[in-house]
Amino acid sequence: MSDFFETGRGLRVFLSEPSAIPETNFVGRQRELELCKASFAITDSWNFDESLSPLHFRLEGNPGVGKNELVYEIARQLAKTLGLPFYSIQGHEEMTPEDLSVLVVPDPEEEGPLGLRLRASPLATALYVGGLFFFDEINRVPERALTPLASVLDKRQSLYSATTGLVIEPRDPISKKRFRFCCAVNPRIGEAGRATLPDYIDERTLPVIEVRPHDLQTLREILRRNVINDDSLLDSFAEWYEAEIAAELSARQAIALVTYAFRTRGLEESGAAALRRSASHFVRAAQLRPKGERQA
Amino acid sequence: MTHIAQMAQPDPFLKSENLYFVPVLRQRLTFAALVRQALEVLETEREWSKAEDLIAVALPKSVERPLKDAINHLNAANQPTVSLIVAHMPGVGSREIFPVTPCDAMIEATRVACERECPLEFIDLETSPANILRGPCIKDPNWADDTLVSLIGIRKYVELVEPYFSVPPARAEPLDTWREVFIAQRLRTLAPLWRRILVVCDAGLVRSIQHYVRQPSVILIPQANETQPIPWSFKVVQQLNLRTLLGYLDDYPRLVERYEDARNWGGASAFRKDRELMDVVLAFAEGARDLDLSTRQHQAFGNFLRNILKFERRLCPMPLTLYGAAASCYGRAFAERLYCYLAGYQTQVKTERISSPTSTSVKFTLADKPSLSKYQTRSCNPVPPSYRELRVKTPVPQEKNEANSFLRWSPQEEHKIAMQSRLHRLIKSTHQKNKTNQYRGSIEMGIEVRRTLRSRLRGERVLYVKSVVARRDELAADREPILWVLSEAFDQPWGAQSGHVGESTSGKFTATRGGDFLIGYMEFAERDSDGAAAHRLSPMEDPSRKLVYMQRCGLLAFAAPCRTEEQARNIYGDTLEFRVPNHSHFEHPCGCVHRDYAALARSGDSWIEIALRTALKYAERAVIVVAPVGLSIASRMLEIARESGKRLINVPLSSFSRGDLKKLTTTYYYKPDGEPDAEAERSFSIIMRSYWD
Repeated sequence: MSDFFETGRGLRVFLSEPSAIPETNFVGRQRELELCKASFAITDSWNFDESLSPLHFRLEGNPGVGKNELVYEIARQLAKTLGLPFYSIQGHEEMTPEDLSVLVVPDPEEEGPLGLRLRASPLATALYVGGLFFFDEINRVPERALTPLASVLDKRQSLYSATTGLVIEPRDPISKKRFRFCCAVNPRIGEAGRATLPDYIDERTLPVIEVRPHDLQTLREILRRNVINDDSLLDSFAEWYEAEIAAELSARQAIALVTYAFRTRGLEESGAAALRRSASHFVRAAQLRPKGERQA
Repeated sequence: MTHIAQMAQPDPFLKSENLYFVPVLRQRLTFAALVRQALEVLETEREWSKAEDLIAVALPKSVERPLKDAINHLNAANQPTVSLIVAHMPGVGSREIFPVTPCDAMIEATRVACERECPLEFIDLETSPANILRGPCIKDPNWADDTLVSLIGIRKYVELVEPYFSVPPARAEPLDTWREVFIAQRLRTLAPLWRRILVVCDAGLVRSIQHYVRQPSVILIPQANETQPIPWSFKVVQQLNLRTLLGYLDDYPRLVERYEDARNWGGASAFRKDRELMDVVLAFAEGARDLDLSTRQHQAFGNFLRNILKFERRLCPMPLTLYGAAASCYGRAFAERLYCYLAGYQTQVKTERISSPTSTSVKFTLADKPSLSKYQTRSCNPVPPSYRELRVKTPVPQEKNEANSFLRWSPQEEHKIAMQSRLHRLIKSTHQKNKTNQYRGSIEMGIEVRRTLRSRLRGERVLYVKSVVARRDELAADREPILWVLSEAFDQPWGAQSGHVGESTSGKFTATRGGDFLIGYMEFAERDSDGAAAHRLSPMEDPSRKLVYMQRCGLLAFAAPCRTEEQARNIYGDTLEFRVPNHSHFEHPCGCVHRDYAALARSGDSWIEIALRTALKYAERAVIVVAPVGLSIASRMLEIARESGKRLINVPLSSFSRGDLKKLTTTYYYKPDGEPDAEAERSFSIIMRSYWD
């Protein structure tokens, strides 16, 4: 694939590079995965069902519950079956509309007194080539920065750049059919009364697929595949989890806890003791509520 | 699926000469409607004759009388309730159950025969009640959706499910073989005597019965002497436990109720569960005007559900799938109302949403205390009930304030207080101002790239950096009045309803001297073209018709989020009377208005201006205005604020999520007119639960 395209006026717009998809073991989340596939109109064999209309779904869940992993799994499978490129962007408070459309960036390779080139954002590139685009933590982005998204997420499927006056559209009908958009929201940001999605984006990113914390069995399997295949340590973790914490530990926290316990375990220290010692740091630091407090 | 829909409608029966078999699954609504379709098709060929046509039902002869009695009771009742006929062997303790429910095909066939006074035969084998324990035998996620019958026809559907019925636990030997042979024998005896026989029998037995009917060499089972008394007795049980009851009301008990309605007006044969369900969802969505659902939400829901159903190879979604799709597209408030509505049945089953530690669940309540705990049946329901009864400790909702004629549930008020708290945090965190400065040795908050590039284009080559300037004064925002402008109905005239300080929470405040109380807030309701502010909920959401809702166009909050008058005194101290208005200073030309502005209210000034004046009167340094972007405050108001030494702090409404604003904008009331109404309170609690999340 060429790394740029030329507009009707002869301007070159350079495309963004696809994002690398992490190679991780996907565990659990089968129901959420089915809902994501239904939203994207993906068949069992990971092809697109052209008789169905794809939707731009939104994942909602606290940090560390596996929202990104869901998207990566979809991206991995679609890359294998359809060669679909994956693009992603991380939302932040300083974002501007140009960050989502076309940027004017310095280009030292260009001749002339002011080396500048036009670079399509990952969103614009995904729209143009027909790829999968993932917008992480979209609710961190200021409202004005999200305005170009409105025309991307409805039937117009186009992106206007105010800076350059360009309208980015899919390059051909196949790209138009293959384009997929999804986003993730951390609802804890919204609780502060800030950084909520404007109505016109909220309605265009339906359905909302809620991602809750894993159950213990899935957590255990995640730990077994990603941290250590040690039954005694995992048993200790399960005992501690059931006795002390319930339904609040994210996969990320669990991985960090068990990794820390395993690495700092003394020679004479049992796995259970190492875990309890490490857990006391994590409970305080992560502001988890012990089970006793929650039941009071 | 499109090409299938274009084909001719398949026959709703399997024909073997003059025998018209309707293979059915027990207690599944689709098959009850299928029996009616079969009769309708046969009647289009030739009118159903009492002299020449027979309805044969695969139930034992001995149950005929008690079943007909139970069906007479079903037909006579205004609200048909599910009951069981229990065959009981005295002294032995074993029992067998025959459910009487409108969604059962055999009951439907019997009802039709009774209503039309047509000949009816019960052709199943008599067996003594025994412990034939058959629980839900099919837990295969690939079990074919029975609604497919209406699309592909009964023949193809039976082919899909046949493999399940050929092995245990769906098949019980030798009983099922005995039944098949006996039924076949009965039909061979009856067939020459009637022109047409409509045979309603279990889907798992039909192929074998058809085979045995055609095989003259099958060994005949000696028929029981009909005059010989059977050693077991029957009784009818109408007080069922929840698990039993829900096992006999299909996936959506409310649809069974609607099928009964369709029966009454002659639409039973055209009843399709999937279409009826979508009609209910649509009607519910249209009726939920207080939730203000948008076209995009409807589109997203329709597409999402269609995609899921294609993925799951179903026509009709299971309840949890429907709930999930509705929650994903419409929000949880709507999904829970819909779920509770669909899970209820007449007066026999009522539902109420509860929050469990891990997820939202529906709590069922029964009209009558159950008297039967266990059951066995000869014909199992192949699909287990979708609903589960959970035993969880439910948090007791805070007490309603009954001092007011309006009963307001705490969750609404708690949400209002939470929104105010969030607003205060927002204001505190945005008191810093961003600026751009020339680079003077420190990068500060980073390079301001655009301004730097523009300077290069101009040939100046100046580096600009971002900096933050802190505001000098910190406002005690949590003690200042807040004016929420919740809609763009800016020109509505004054018509305010005042609310007491602490009236709606656990701390009660008792008014003295009739009208002397501290005003915590004032709310302004949007009025429609007829001037009405209160609107009733739809009958589906509130059968009692006693619940009303109002859409606020504005809310003016005076007091800091305090729950009692004592708290207010602690917060404001000696300045209380200057900071929180007293109702005794208000007049009522058109709702509550401070006497200083009563003339303005009478002359029809807009509510925003009067509210702002009132707020400025009681503000110490500023009034916080939360309003849509684009609201321009009249210049004279800005002047008034300036002259008083106070300022107006604007916060855009878009700083809050749509869901939170919706909860603040719409306020619900239950106004009892005499005795408390349990139905109204139940409906109200379902609506209020969405505030708990």
